[in-house]
Amino acid sequence: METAIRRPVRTTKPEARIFLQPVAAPSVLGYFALGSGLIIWGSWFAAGWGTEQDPSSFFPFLLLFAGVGQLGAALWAYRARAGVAAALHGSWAAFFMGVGLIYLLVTTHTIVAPARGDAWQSLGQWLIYMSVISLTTAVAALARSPVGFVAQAVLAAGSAFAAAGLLLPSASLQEVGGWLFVAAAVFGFYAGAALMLDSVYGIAVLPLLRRGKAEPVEYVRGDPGVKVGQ
Amino acid sequence: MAQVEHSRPAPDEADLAGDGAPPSAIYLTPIAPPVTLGLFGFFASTMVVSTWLLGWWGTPTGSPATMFEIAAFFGGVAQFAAGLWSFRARDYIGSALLTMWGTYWMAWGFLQAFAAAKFITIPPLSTPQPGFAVWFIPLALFTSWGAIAAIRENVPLFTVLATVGSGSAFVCGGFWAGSPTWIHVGAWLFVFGACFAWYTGAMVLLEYSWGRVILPFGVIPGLMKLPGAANRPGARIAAPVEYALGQPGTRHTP
Repeated sequence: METAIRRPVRTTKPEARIFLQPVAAPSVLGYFALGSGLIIWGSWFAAGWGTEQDPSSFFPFLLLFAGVGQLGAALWAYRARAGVAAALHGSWAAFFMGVGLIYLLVTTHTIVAPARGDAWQSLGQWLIYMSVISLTTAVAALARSPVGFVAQAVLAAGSAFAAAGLLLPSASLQEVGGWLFVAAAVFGFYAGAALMLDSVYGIAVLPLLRRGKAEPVEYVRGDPGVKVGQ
Repeated sequence: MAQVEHSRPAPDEADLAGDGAPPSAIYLTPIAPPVTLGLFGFFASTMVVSTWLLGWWGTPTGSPATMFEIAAFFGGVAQFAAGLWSFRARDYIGSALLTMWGTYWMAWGFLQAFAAAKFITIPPLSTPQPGFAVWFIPLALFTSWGAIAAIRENVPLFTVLATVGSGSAFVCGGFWAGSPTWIHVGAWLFVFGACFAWYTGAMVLLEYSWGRVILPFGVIPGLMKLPGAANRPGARIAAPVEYALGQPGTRHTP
């Protein structure tokens, strides 16, 4: 039996359009979150301040801001077409969520973490691969962001020193690694602040070596998303 | 009036049936390549755990307590998120396999967390663990299917999936039978697969960022989708649409 209603069937290709959707630069949050995690954990790791008990106080900040906050930036970086930001912030967000969880478990006396200056094989292993990944993203960032390259190259160096310090072990190498994390944080803060001011003022307030003046497409009397900002 | 009527397309058979489709268009939305973060998460987690299984560092019982946390988030959450973005990238292999391996690392993290909290005890490698071995049956099967699909993509991605798929089979047999030797063979294959995962992620990221091939794609012309130029450093194989002075999202690699 033949059915009474036939479904419409299209046999020609429909029209296709490429839609470019502008978003705020995710690396502003990404670098702020990464830098915050690096400056707090790095300076403590370098024995610059505090005691072995202090991670019980700062682990929620590492877990949530350097971790979850930075992961949010990484996921928006896909929409922003920022391949380096997605890889860099996604990797370090995961690292800080993991470190935050380690100190959470230390705080609840579930596990025991080695003291600063001592050997910590597993964290040293992780930092080897964080160094490789950061160096890879640094080389990729060099194509368009010299500041990003410097921040990520210093981050890779800090990871390598910290890894060596944890594996050998060597307190002095751990200190060098920790202070390099702080230096990477400073460059990261600069990159994040420069991106923010660049987008707000439309000109390079802090040099990023960007090509040309920004001219975003907007309808200034529209809602957020149609105009730039809120 | 007649002119207005004739300017509309003639109703087809479906319209006469009262079931006409409205005009449609396909929207293509560019995003950054998700596969890089996913493969970097896989690379780091697999290297750390596989080298530990091979006895290169650490102790059999002491190391996992401070090792699983980053694996659960980097190999797990981050790789899973990259897998979900792969749907938007229209990447069949990435959407299935990055998501699958992301859930594996999260699940492995759960297991180790339960062991750290002393809810369970994880036996040594020489003790049969069929309850853990069965995890690797679907992992081996679907990763190997992904390898067959990747024959159309590039050699590095195929190598990742082929080595990890076969490694999963060895690890499955090893945990089932309580054979450290089989587990070590699987771990070696994982190490090779992880190194190729780094290469593949870096290859895609560097080409995307520099706008030209930096690391060769390993394309077999005629068999794979990309042109042979993808094997030549410096070659341009993409021409992305962008408004260079616009905000992120409208320009390529902000």
